[in-house]
Amino acid sequence: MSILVPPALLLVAGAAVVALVPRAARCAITVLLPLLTLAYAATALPAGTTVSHPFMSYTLEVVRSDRLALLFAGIFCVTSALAALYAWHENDVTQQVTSLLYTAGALGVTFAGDLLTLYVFWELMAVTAAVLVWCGGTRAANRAGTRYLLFHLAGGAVLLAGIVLHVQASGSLRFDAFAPDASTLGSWLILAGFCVNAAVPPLHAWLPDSYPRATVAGTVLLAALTTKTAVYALLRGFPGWEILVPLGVLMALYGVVYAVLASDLRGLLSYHIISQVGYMLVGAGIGTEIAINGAAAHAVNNLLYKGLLFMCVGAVIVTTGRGNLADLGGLRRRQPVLLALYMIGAFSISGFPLWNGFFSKGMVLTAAGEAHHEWTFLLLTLASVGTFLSVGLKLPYFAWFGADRDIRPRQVPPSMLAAAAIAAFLCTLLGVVPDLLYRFLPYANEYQAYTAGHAIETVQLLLFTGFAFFLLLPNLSVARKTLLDVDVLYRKSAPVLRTLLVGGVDAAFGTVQAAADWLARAATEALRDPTAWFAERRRRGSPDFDPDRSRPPLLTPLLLTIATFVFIAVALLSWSRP
Amino acid sequence: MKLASPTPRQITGAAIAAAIALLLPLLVPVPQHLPWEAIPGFYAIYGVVGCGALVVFTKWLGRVLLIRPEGWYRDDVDRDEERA
Repeated sequence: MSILVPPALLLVAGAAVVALVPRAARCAITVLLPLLTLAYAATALPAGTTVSHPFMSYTLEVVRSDRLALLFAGIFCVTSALAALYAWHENDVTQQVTSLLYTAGALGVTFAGDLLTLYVFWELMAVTAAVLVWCGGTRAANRAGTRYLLFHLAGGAVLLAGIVLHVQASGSLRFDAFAPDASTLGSWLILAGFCVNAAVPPLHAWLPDSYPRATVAGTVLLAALTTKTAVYALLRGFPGWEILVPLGVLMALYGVVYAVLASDLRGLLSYHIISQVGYMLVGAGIGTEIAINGAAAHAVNNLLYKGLLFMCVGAVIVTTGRGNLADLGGLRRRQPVLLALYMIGAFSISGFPLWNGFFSKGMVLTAAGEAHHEWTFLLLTLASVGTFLSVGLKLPYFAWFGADRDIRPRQVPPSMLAAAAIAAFLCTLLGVVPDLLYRFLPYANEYQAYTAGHAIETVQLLLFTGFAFFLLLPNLSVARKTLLDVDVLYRKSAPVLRTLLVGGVDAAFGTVQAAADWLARAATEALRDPTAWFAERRRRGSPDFDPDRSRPPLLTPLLLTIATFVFIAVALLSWSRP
Repeated sequence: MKLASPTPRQITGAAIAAAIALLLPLLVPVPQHLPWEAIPGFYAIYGVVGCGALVVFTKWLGRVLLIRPEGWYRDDVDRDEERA
């Protein structure tokens, strides 16, 4: 029997290798390693494989392979390789090592058959993602990375508490679907832990706070792994939990509202991640076969087109040095290739026919319609309108068209263009031949995307959204701004909490300390020389103290003694004389 | 911002695209799954109304609640920028 290595460990070993090899070899290894890991997982770990180890009185299933796990692991590896190719020209060893470890965390979670393994890799992802944010190098990145880490460690603690309660109640570490009608406190806490990473409002503010501050290449990978790993965990652990449907709708709309308002390139796309993950939560919440298939397909497609969009705006940021729509405009003649690649991503994410968002969005919507979630259907369609409005119209209009600011961008590094081109090709390929993806979905697929009805309805929706956009254009403006979100609760409350919890306690301790000091000093002073108390009494009021005149107690006994001696002497002399 | 008024060619193109999108369902039978799909051109109306509602709503929400000046969080600003 051969020994099967968990794919995550291959990447961890690879990260160690990358740290040691010469500069020139690092990039190639970072690109190839995820692809080799994918090849290994696809050949050595077919669906149904398990690798388990005894651990204390439990069994750890470090690998449990099935169709859902293989699909997510596959797309995680592809995205990691694309992100590494995109970062080729930077060749920053910290990011390369961290990226591989981060991908290892995602694969570890994906193949985890038990909750303890899942938890360990979950935390590995939290730490490595925070390091990727810190790599942004600015003070803002530094602070945002720390906030990210604190938030995710708190989420991880909730997850761990849930796991402990669940294991206590059920006696098993296995990670299986939790029954929606037999929920326990443990399963709710696990769900909350997953929802932190899935960026479900109001637990989402870490995402738009941190992702726009990493390096442009770091953002591409960050945007891919954390939320989609959480989606995977929800699909595996909580299918059919009705609560996920309204939460998903909330996310889909919340994300587009902020995306329509945002003017920071990566801030806009970061908010839009929340919207996209909302569709996947709806799929998980409906829980039928087509819904799970749709959510999984949407996650795969999302990784490709969201990665592509982040790659294109990252290239704009690198070549122009500007990351805000308020400072951009008129780049279409100078960066036509980037514009074309971006628009492929924008058409994909908006769900235009011929691109991959078309069928995965359609699957989720069809699932909602079949399950008689009419409101969900209508609200998700509204989110589609908002998607096209913010990502497909507003961002490209103000970046590539709009007011020409006469920006002279640098040449786009070829590695960046290559990565974006591959992602664009994959988006189009899957859009034209969705069967390529259908066959990897967890359940047998009966959905057919390319029906006349679906195509015509989508074109009507998006075309008229476009008309409305151009009519409303005079009302749209972009400006540099800060967008309030729930993170205001923990970013602005710091001074208040500091005053209350640190300042108040400090002041109380200070007062007590001062009082104690005063008391001790007074006591020492007073007790140093007790004789001085009496001298002090006499001294009081006479600053020009003369010691010679102040010794009557000494003078008196002296005089008395002398007088006594004199008396005795006289008495003896007189008595001895006969 | 002032919008450059569209050229006649752009208007014609848009009108043709709109006509095709609206008239095609008359030629190709489209099965109806959901109650509102009986309304002709429902999705076109929904696109226009939805887009308008989103723009108006977000603009209002931004004005009354969400938009703050840049650098409102002091640790968003780098120290060097702060000094300058």
